[in-house]
Amino acid sequence: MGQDVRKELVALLPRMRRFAYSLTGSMEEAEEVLQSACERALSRLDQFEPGTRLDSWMFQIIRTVRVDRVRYSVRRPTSNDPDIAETAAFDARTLEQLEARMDLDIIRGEVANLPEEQRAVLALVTIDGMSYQEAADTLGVPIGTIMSRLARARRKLAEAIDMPRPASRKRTTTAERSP
Amino acid sequence: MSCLRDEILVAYADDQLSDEKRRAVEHVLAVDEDARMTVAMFKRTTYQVRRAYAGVDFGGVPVWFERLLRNVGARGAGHATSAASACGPRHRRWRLSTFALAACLLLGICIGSLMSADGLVPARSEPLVSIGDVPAASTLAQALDHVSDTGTEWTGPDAWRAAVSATFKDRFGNACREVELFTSVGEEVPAQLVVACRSGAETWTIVGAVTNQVSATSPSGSVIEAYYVPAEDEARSSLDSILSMLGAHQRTPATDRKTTAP
Repeated sequence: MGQDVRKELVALLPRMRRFAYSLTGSMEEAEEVLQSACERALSRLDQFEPGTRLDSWMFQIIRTVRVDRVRYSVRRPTSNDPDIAETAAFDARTLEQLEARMDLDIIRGEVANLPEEQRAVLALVTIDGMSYQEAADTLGVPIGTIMSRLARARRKLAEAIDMPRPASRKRTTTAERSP
Repeated sequence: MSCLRDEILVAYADDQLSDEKRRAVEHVLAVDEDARMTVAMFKRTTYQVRRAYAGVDFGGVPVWFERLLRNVGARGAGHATSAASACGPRHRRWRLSTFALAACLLLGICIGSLMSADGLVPARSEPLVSIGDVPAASTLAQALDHVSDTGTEWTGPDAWRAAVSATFKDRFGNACREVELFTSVGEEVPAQLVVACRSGAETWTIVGAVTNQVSATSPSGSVIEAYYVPAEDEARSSLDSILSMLGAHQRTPATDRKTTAP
């Protein structure tokens, strides 16, 4: 069983990393959370019940690790990953691409600003594609709680994304760029 | 303001309602413009968020993960209950005849440096080499260079021999070799099978090892025989787990081996 689980873990790594990133808002911190979660999982492989979902089990552990880190203030102050921002700027071929990437950066930043509980639900359902029931099972909350957290998170996001930005972050429209 | 709560509308937008509830919501949507706008807003956020995260590369297996699996593999070996469970499935399996005591295979994974500065320790039924970097000028490095570059068997001091049994690349593109190590004790029975990898012209690293406790005679004085046979239907093996951790690719064809020297 252990070897099968380890193989599955390798396949799950991208999803786990994405979940950790959506919780932390920082690739560096996501990697730290992921590493702690994997260490914890592999040291407790005997607690995993064959036949149940490994992804849910791992997401639970990742979330627990994240909550523990926040509780003990290990959290780093970054909300937007500088690597991604730099990469985005460096790779941009056109102004439009740059603007589009800035938009994506803004959205990730707004996700990082959501309350922890809402962010976790958003990460599982909207980003990872879990059903409401699967997310409820993973987080150990009623499905109604999933629905209400998701609705609040998505409304908050929509308002934040549509909000006017300071000059440095504001999108420049074609009309504004014209001489 | 819509007469439907956001919780219902977000579930509708995410296609998470039963058919019955869905039809009921659609009746309301037909006459409620606010509800329609809210559903559109929820759908838009789904698209935006997914797009924001789709552009980020979350792939790749980090070095710490490989190390972690390797450490767990080493600890797991200590808990192995039998030779069969520890050394089950693989491309080939160790098969030892009659004597249960001698038929025990050890998963010789132990983290640390080589057991001697020279890289080989002439011990009868103990691991010859351990996981870790191989000192550049050691006998083991010499043996690995020889079998890797020439594809032919290497014979060293005290009748030590080494032969390549497979060539492949790991998930990082490092060239790796499965090498059988023979001693005078086991004769044609490999005393140890190791997996060694290196990138570019750097030093070899032993990333996995399976040790066979070969001995000349059993406690009763009979000669112990041990040999490889092709893998069939066994469930798992220590070597398979090592190769799996490495992300080993298909074996490199024999004709290409000389040109894929690391």
